[in-house]
Amino acid sequence: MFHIIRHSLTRRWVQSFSTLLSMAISVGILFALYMFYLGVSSGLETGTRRLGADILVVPADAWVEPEAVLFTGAPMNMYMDAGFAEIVSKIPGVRWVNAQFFTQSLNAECCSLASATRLIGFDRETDRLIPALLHSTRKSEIAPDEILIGAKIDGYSGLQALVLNSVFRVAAVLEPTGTSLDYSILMPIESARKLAKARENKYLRIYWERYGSPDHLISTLLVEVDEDHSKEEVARSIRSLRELKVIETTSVLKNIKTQMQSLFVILLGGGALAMISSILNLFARFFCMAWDRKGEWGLYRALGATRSDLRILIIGEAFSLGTGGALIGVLLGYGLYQAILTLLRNQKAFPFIEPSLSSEIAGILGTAVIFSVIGIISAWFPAYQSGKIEPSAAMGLEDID
Amino acid sequence: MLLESISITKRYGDDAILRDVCLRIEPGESVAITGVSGSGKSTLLSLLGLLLDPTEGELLFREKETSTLSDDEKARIRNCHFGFIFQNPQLIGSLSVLDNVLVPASLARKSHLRARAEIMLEDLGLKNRLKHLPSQLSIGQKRRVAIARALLLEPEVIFADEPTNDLDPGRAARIGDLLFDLPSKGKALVLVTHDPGLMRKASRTVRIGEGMVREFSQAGTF
Repeated sequence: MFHIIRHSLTRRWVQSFSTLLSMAISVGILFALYMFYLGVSSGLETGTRRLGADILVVPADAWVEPEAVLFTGAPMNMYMDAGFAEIVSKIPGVRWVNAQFFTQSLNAECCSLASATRLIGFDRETDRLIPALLHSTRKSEIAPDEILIGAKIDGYSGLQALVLNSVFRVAAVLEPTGTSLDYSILMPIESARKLAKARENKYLRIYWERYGSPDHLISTLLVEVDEDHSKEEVARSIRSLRELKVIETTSVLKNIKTQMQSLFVILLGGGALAMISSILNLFARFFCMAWDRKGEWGLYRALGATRSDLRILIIGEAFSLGTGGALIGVLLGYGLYQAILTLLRNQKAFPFIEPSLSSEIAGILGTAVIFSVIGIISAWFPAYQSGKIEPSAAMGLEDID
Repeated sequence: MLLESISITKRYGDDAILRDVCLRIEPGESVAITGVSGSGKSTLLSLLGLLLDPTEGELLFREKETSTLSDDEKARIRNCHFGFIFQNPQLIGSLSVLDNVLVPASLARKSHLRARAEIMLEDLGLKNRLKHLPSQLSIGQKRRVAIARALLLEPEVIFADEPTNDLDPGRAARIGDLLFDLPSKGKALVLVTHDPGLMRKASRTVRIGEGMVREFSQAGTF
């Protein structure tokens, strides 16, 4: 039976190819959308939990995009006086403030990394973010010669890493957070300041000439607001200090979510239209087939095919096209997903966590099953009709194409 | 007794195409059915081959009433016990010569008959045509493929509807020789024909006229 199905599909290769392609395109769009949606929703959810603060405060003269600060690991050298930590902490409604110092590694032999990466120094006394990140590891705190490596940093292997000619022990590789932490290296603030002053970082000297010694500087303040205070109100109070710029993390996430939802609606619309078109194509093909190939079905009946055999032949063709289209579509969709991701990341930073292998497998199997079932359903009625053809239909027919 | 029709009648609406046809077919026998166009020859062949159900009367295969059989049981008899050679060879254009011959085996889920099919096609002079498509064959070659397809599962009865139609005398004679060799192997041959040469070779000839059996004749007497 299988070779009859195979020959029938290959003989009508133009029809088969067009049906397969239309199925593959709609599967590809929907699969890419599924993967992208998983990554963004997971990134948004984890990012909300892992950003670690309601408000991010940066120097007023820092020329930065909020999304870039929050979701990329690009080096970001911006500095302000460390005294702002105390000033901000005294604003009504501020529960706690955590200072961070940014510096960077270099794209050179002095470092294990392939490209320049943001180094984040955290204040071990006031920090509340690191213990949450270390939750899944056995460590509770980080020593001055230890670092934490973001989930998406490549280039490190083993237990040690070379950063600006200093050897650090890798305390842990963090789980994905969907934020800039995934692309950054974290270390105690004193270690970060020491590296900032390192001979290799000579081009950072312009900052120290402008702002003074890094020992008295910080880059950002993570601010947590009391539950009984409005975040907007606290943000307004910080802004009123004039020398600081405020990034409201929830507002940034909300904006990204709105933008992503619009994108999903557009892509989903395109995917749904492609899917409807391919289902109609498949249904039309098999509906016409029931009549066009009446002689062939009659011949099979005369030669001993039961009604079930005929249904298997017809549904087998539809199933093959549905499953084949789904599998090709998954490959196509994976490429499309990577392309969308690269394209969007080049345009805008947003929280994203790569879907897990189990989610990918579930997506592949789900898509294959759904489209195989669609194939079967579209051929069901024609198969039922063809099953009614009497074997005597074979008598007196011409050769069958 | 292999096949027996007892007073079978076939009507389409009020029109009776065949009436009260009684016929017995034994193993190793060849029966030629003849008659003018529209007399009901092909309808009788279809009834005997279980391609059609009679409106009245009984049709027995191996002394078992076939009207009580399910549609699938009849399909299995057609597949395993009957072989059909239609008026037009009716090969599937999308299948090669070899795959066309293997269709009954595929339907019977007998995938081991490939070698036998190849030998049969070689015996029929189609050794170099196994991979060809039907569109690449002459009408005589197509008929030989149809014969190989009908014989692959070694059926007990072969039904042939005007198998030499449109063939030149030389080819018609070769096809006739092939078919009339079958009764010597214990198989029954039932064929519809206008060809006097084939009728002469048949052990019995049945003439149909106006839907009824008009005449029987024994071998060589028609």
